[in-house]
Amino acid sequence: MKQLGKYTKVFKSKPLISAAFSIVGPSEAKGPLKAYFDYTLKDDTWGTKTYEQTEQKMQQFAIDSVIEKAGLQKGDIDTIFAGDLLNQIISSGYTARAFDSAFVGLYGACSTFALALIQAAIYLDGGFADTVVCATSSHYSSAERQFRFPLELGVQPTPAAQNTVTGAGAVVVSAGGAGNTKTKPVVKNTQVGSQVNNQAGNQTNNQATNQVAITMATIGKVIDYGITDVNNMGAAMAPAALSTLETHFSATNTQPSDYCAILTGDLGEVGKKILIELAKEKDIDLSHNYQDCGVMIYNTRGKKIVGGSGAGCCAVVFSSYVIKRMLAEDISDTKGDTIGDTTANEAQSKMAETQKEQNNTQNKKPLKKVLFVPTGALHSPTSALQGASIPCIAHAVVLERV
Amino acid sequence: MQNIFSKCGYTMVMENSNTLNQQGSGASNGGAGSSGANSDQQDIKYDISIPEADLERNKQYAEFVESKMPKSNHLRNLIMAFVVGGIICIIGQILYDLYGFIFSDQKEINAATVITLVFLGCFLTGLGIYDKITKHAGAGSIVPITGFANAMASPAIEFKREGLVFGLGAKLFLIGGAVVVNGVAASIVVALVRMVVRAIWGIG
Repeated sequence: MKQLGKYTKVFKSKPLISAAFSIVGPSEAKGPLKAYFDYTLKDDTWGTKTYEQTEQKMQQFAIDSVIEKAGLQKGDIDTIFAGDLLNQIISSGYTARAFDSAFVGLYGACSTFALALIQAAIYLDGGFADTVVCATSSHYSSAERQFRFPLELGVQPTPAAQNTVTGAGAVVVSAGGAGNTKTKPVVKNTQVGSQVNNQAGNQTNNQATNQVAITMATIGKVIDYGITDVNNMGAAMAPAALSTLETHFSATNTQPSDYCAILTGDLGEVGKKILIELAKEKDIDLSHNYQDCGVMIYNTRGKKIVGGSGAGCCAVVFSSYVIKRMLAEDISDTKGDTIGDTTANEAQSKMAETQKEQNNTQNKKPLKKVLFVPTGALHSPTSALQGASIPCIAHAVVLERV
Repeated sequence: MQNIFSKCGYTMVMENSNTLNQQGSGASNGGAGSSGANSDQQDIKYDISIPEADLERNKQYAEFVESKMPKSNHLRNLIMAFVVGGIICIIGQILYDLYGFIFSDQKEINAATVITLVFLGCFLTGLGIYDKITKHAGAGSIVPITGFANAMASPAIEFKREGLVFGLGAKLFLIGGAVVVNGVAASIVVALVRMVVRAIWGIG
């Protein structure tokens, strides 16, 4: 059996993440993780006529670039697993027409990236593919129009509202072990365009032996705690994250301290706080090594913003920060260092942040084992207007450095 | 049948409803799956509503979430709305006074003032400034007529890309439609109240 309990899958062949690429919009590039992104847009239309096209362009560029980064040709990719937030996942569909690969379109709202990783791992572990690409994207302006109001309409944001991330992330996943001949280990620094961050180029010596593998995954079940406020996604999704974490920890017989970092997708500050408290009631201690991608991507302190969201949110954080930290790439800007050995305690991390600003050369331990748990809200604007509550889901992926 | 449905944790009640059954079995109008079924098939009452135990849990969770929510700064919002709304009104008053030098008719002055304010609202929307003002000012910049201009101009900008007829034409009143419909409905109610008050007490 490759299954632990009902929800958890174990990938004995350990599919490897061969390369990762992230592209973000201008406002994400101002955030704490700016040094980790591979490419940043100067304006949020990127020379296209519509924001939908911009999103598709970002996703296509991310997939193209990640294939190049992995040292592969377009034709080497067997299957593309992709998804996004737009109706009928158009960004992914239009993107896939540019590639000569089988296409599996996925929708899991903001958790789509984890869903793609899990599907990829299942395909690779089962021997149904050799090299695949996972990608998701979202765009603030296209999501805003679909889920909320026209862009220029003046609306006062509610305190728990999150910001859809403009960005796309893509990874190449290849069969692990001896069967894997096509791909080279991760992280060659490509020079795509002139805007590629130079800081990301400093490579460490021993990285050829380091690779990131997907070793386990827990597919979540849909949880609905009756939250109807679409401006409070964090609160709606936190119980789903808890359910998946609980299932995962009990199925794999692990606890939070067995992981270097536990990362949820886009709960925001509000959802993060709620999850920590909910977990405490279930005797799961998330107070030390837990962080949320949506909180990490923006400067949330002192701003009217509780975090990022969207299918692109966890995708760009994963394919930039998480992968680079796991491979111990030396990023000289340490402001983004919000997880790992430092504690997640509010006051302490505030202090740590000021210290870091003074001392940019601080050493960081690479992350060895990461539990990546993106969450998704499976509602639609129609169901929201009809007053239905928000069903949510979370998928957990275990990533290990091998 | 009973077993399959009870597995889902929902209640299922078998009913002998002949009238519904006949409608279903005799249907050639593409009725939901029941056409062609046996005429003795019983109508199934299949309940997809949330189990009661969950409702109680949801209620507790809603209270818990409420306690964790960041609070809006009401005082700051009120002051901002007052100041910004006031500034817009002062601009309107200045325009009104200035138009007094050009036009002599009261109606002309009113119209010119409103037209100018609507223009300014649309102009600032087009420049992407108005939504930034509203982010801080809230109702202060939504309630004045410039806010209505913003509500009309922003869908126009947004949906122009979907074509002039079914994009812009159909969706222009996406926000404004709600304002107009509810405004008209509210004014009818208010007028009725006024009529009654006047008829009974002779005031208003």
